[in-house]
Amino acid sequence: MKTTLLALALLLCSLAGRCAAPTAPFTLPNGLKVVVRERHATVLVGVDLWVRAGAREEGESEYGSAHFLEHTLFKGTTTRKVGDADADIETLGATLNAATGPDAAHFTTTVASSHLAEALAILADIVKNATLPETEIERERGVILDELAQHGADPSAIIVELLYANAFDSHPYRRSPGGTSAAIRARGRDTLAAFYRRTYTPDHCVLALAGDITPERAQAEAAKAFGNWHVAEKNAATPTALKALDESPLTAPRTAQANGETVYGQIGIAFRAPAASEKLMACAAEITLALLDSSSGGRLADALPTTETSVRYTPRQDASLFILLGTLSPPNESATPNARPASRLARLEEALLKSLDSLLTHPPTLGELNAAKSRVLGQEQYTQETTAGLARALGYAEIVGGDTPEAFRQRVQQLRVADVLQFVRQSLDPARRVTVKLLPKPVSSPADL
Amino acid sequence: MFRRGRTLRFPFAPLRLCVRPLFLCAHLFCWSCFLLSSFCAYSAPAEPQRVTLPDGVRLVLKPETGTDVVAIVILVRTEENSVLDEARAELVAHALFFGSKNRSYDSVMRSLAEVGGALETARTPDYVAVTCVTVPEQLRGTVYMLCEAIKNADFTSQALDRATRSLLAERRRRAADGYEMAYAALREGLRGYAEPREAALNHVTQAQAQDYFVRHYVPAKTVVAVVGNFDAEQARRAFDADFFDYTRPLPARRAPDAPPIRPDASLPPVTLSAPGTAAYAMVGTLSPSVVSPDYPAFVALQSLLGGGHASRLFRQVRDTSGFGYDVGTVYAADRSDPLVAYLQWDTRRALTATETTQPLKSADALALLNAQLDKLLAAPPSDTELTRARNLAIGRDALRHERARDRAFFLGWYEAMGLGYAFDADLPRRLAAVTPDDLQRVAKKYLSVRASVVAMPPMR
Repeated sequence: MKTTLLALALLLCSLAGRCAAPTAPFTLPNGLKVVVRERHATVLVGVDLWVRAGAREEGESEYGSAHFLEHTLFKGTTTRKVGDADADIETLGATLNAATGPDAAHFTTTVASSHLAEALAILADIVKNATLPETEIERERGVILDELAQHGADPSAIIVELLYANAFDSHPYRRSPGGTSAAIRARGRDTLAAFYRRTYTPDHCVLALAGDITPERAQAEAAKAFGNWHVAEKNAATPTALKALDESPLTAPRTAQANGETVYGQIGIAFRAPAASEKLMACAAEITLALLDSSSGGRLADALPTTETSVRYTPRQDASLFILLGTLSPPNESATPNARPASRLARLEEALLKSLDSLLTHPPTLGELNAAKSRVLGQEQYTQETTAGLARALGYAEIVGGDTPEAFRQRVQQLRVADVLQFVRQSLDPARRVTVKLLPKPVSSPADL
Repeated sequence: MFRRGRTLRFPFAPLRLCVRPLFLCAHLFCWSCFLLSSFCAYSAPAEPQRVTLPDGVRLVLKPETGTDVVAIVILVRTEENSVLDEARAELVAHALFFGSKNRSYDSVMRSLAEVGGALETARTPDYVAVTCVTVPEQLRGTVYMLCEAIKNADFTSQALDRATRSLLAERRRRAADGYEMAYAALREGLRGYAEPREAALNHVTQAQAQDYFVRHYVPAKTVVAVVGNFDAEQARRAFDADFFDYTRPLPARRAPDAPPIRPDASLPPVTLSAPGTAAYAMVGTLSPSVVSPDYPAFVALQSLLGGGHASRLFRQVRDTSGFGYDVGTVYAADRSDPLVAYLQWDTRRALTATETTQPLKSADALALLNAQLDKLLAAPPSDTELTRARNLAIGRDALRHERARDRAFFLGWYEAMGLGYAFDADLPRRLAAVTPDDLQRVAKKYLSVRASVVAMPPMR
């Protein structure tokens, strides 16, 4: 344990010393917030522009627009035709990518610092000046349907979607941020354009820059690329981002069952979990994840050594879910009728809940807690070792109101067993859980090729 | 998160020596050199040092001040000529840390937990790589743990059983993914041999595993690369001390019992049944090894064909035709893998009345991929296209060096493959020197022999 404590302390110190001291974010006159971290180990700069244009911002008739729009922004601007932005940035040795989540969409690139100005100009052009051509929207519709099909082949992703659908009654989190096939088919240019005008405004954005860049240069380059970005029409309504969205608490267990792409059966158990702004409990949730998760040697590895299990939690702008997943392994050769998937999933659910309960009946020792902290910090170190990972962490924290990377590390260090137990009692109550069981679906004839 | 473009499924491999052409387009040369200078300033202040220990183990040590961790990669060169050895090779690589002659499995796991960080073992036809990332203060303990495994791993029946279960679990996971399934089938076809099946794994005895281990895990074939926040002399002393009894001789070379039979003509398409509604079409071609003089040009070819969102495949198949969320190329030279061009689409798109496009059949998908490969054979690329492709390859090489573990891997890999660690710093220059004629030359040499696989889900 001493060695673990020493390793933990040294890891914290070395992580803290790696970057220059964090600088406070600054805001351009048009409302664009900029966060910067200097790190001159390489000549690269990670750029991550976060826009409060995630699924959370969609109205009922706009479902799927956030994701559709993120794709369509690359389809031409007032000065670039389809493919030009990608060709321009790749000639600089970088690539542009984007993703849509529940709270935001974000646009990323990593570029040599000497080409930062050009890269920011390309990125700014896409988000400010997209023309959303009708023909390209139709072409991209099919591409998004292909993406959804790929996503739909992952049973764990399906279970997580069903858990969110069943855990929330009115909050937009109940819907998958990618949209459904039906929603994507239904969205037209007018809806996308309206969503674009409403959400892609500088005061909805955070620009994160990490790597070979000083705060002074960041301010100058951000102002040069984005300073002339002004909102043409003001949306009179308060941006959804600033509103707390109401959702009634869960008062009883909920269950759902579906057939899906699983060989033997899978289960997901979810609990409402702290929002990112509940920083202490969000940190406790992450440590609890490490205490349980089998891939990091947590309790589930011992409790269910031959079963594939995992634990997931991502702090979001509003309360999200803490999720346990389990996959049934092949049944024994001497399987009895009780070995049907439904029965086996019921037993697996029992075992997963027992592991959760063990956190209260056998609280983590100090050694166990420190080992979990080491794993969490090790994962942080790994993801933020790249400039892209660091920029992502900075931008995401700002968008959802969570801890900065530095503050999170400090909070991990100070977290106590009592904090973990408070989280478990407060959030992981089996009486307020949501369970989804995914059973194998029957397969008909092979595709006609 | 739902992404605009799929992130890379496999790491791209770096380049190697190429013959510098006598004439270069000045424009291309200047633009790529400008980009090259932008990325080459990356190098950390200290140059790597190579030290050969008395037993023959080569150390490549690169201390750095700008990082918090120490990454250690141990590569053991295991040139696999015999298909019969595959099962033994797989199990030995997976069981390296499941106990040794001096330490039980539980003792090794406790050490792993104590040194913290991450430990991974990867096996390819050319080498086994053990990668460990730790903090500077745990370097001594980490070195001991790694050296003990490389010298004295003990392949008890429990260790082999554990390794078998781990391998089979990984295969089950891959079998549930249409992309992985199709890729594995393509690789088998072009390599000339399949992954060892469960029966072959179960038949490996302790004696066979031990025999394989002592024949292949020898000092003369072992390279250790260390990158990060450490003292070079302390590291050298640690490895010298812990490898002092690593004295197995290099075995006499023997003719392979069953060498793989690689295809010399295109193979007929293979169709597999995949889960879900996403279909995958893949066309694979032969590819040069990292030690081949064709390597830099081939990496530029791969970048041109399917690297990035301005590549030929992305522009022609996805942007223009509207098919395939996931489309591009993969060329994992560090795994000795073929070049693979792939396309994914939703088979249900054919089944709705609102679709304006015609349904995409598997033959059409393969035709879309083959058309782009044929185009490379027909004519060299334009200057503009090649500039993008080369610059992107240079940029990606820089990105692949952001992590200490990757910097250690590339130094060790080049050294183990006989290129010398210095090739790592020289690589971007060689990329910048690729000409249109180089690219077409390698296209003609490698892209003619192809294998095709389609993974199709069942109809609903």
